[in-house]
Amino acid sequence: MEIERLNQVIRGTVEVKRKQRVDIIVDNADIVSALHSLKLFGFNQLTLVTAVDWIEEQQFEVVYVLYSNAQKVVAIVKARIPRENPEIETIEDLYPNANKYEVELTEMFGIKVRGNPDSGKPFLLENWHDLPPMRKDFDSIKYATEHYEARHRKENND
Amino acid sequence: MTKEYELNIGPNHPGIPGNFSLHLELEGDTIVKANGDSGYLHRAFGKLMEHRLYLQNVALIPRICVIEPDINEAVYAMAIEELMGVKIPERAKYIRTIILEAARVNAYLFGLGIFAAATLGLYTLMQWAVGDRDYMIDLFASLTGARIYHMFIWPGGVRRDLPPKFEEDILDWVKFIKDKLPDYDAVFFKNSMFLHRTKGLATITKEEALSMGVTGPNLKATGVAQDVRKDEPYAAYPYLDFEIPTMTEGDAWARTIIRRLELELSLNLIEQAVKKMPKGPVWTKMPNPFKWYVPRGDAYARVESSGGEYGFYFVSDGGAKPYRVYVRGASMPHMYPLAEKLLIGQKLSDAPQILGSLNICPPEIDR
Amino acid sequence: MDKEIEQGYNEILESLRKRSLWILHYCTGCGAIELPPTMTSRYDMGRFGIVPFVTPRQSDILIVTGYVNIKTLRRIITSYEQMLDPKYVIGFGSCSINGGIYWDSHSVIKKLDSYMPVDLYIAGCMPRPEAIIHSFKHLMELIDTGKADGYRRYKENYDFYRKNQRKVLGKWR
Repeated sequence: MEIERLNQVIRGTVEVKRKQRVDIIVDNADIVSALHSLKLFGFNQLTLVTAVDWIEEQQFEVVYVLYSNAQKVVAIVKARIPRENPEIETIEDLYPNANKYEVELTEMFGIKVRGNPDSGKPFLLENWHDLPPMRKDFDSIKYATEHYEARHRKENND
Repeated sequence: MTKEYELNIGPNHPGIPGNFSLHLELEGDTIVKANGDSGYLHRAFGKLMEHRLYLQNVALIPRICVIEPDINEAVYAMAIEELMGVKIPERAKYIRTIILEAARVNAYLFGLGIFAAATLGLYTLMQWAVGDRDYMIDLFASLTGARIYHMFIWPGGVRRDLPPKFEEDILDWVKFIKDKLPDYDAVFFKNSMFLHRTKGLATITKEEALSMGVTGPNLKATGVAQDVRKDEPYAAYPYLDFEIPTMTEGDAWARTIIRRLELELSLNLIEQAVKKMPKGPVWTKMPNPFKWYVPRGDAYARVESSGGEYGFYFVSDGGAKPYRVYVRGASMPHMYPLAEKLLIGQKLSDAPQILGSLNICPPEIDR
Repeated sequence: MDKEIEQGYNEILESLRKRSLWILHYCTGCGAIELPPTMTSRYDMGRFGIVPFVTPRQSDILIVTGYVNIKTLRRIITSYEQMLDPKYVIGFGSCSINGGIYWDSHSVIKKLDSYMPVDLYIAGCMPRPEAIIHSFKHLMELIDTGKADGYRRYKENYDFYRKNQRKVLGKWR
């Protein structure tokens, strides 16, 4: 199978960035179908799922990194979704290890994952009541200064 | 008639490798359901890196995973080099390889020692392996000035050249560990307690492992020779001659033996790299470090760590600081969902062996 | 007369205590990587009567190895309260002193002694095994001279500690 043939099976932009790297940009609605085709195409391992907060454009970019064990190629699938009420479809039935990455997505960015039963459950944070921390509009320096007591240098001279 | 009950193990439990906990549902002694609970080591590296200049991040990133810190430096440097289009000198590639392999040996010695001691009660291997690892730590201290966090590999190459006599010293250390391996075998790898408690325990098949995104020794133990060092060679690996060890059993025993074979492979790679290393510069001169402007774009850099594939998804918006970094730890799929699935149906007393044989590193999951 | 006897009794107790310090086996952070080298053949802290132990009930020392996430903070406070008197806390590494490199993280506390009494800090990232052994010897001196009184301070200033704990952890019990 040739990587160049990807164009024919996926609705989206396929760009061979360099040897062993393919960038695929798909539409918000086509994520699951694109990943499904990619899995049939040989991308049998899910490496990671994450998001990038493009706050100036009011968009989240959801990123899936897949690996093809046979062709030794990494595919980076990207899709832009609106920043207001972000929602994506789960891919847990395609790749079983997607579950916790999606849970993390919900926790760190507030992106809801439809069809994932664990989406919204706490994973890394406990008792978190603020904005999802990886968003760009969450100021972690301000949060840390307000919540956690700092040591002042003068104290050490006592 | 046995009754179901719930049990929390960890985070304060020696059978749990590190700071995370397990919530088990048990029927008598058999595990019916296992849920991992992570986040005890969460520091939000993605967020911290957004606040710091590219140069400051060099000091921050080794702290993601303490057992093998150098992979973080290498993968960070590789991501920036890819985006900036920097080529690193040949000698730097070899020095990186030597450091990464030495760190891998250290991680295996440490991991196997803790695995033997904490889960099987075989304290001798821990006394020996962790003690022997310390001689390499001394060499790291002579090379970089620090025992654990080296901050030595950085974008463009490595920070400085090897000190005099370092090559002889590291070859001596490699020989020392190689001479020790038969002792390790006798005391641990051929120990009947180890064999009885791990053979046939928690077997995974090739298909399961591939579908769950399992990498590294855990995948090699099922018979798949997948290794980033071979598949997408970085540093000086294309110039070195090696074969990826595999086994077909896929059980806890095979996963441990694979780490033993990898240990030997890494020692061989260090020897090869030291012998083949050319002379020359070690750093491609980059502009003023406070003004590293990485062009807009994204990159996924990956290396093979002692646990499996380790990568950074790196996004730059052209500014002075990274825009977004996602750290892909190898242990994430090994814990979720692999360990959670493997624990089901096993006896409670086997849980530490299963977790230990998967080589789970909690800071990689939490970051 | 009674007071003198009690004082002498305490002195003997303290000098016995300092010779068998058991560490709670809880790797709270990355500093835990320097403890196995300290325990094993090369540095061998067993020489000083210091060994790791698994349950809080039988341990004397809680080593807070490095950064403290708020999720971990809850567990170390519980572990600390489970330990029996006399008990000592060692803050290990820069992160427990002032947050270290994680000063701006949204999930890491900066000053450990606001939440639990700390008898001794070891500076550095990482502190070397020599520094750990030195700190244990220093702790022994503190115990000998009666200055390692963190567990008493915790009882006396319980409201202060509880207030600070509630501030970051919420009303958790």
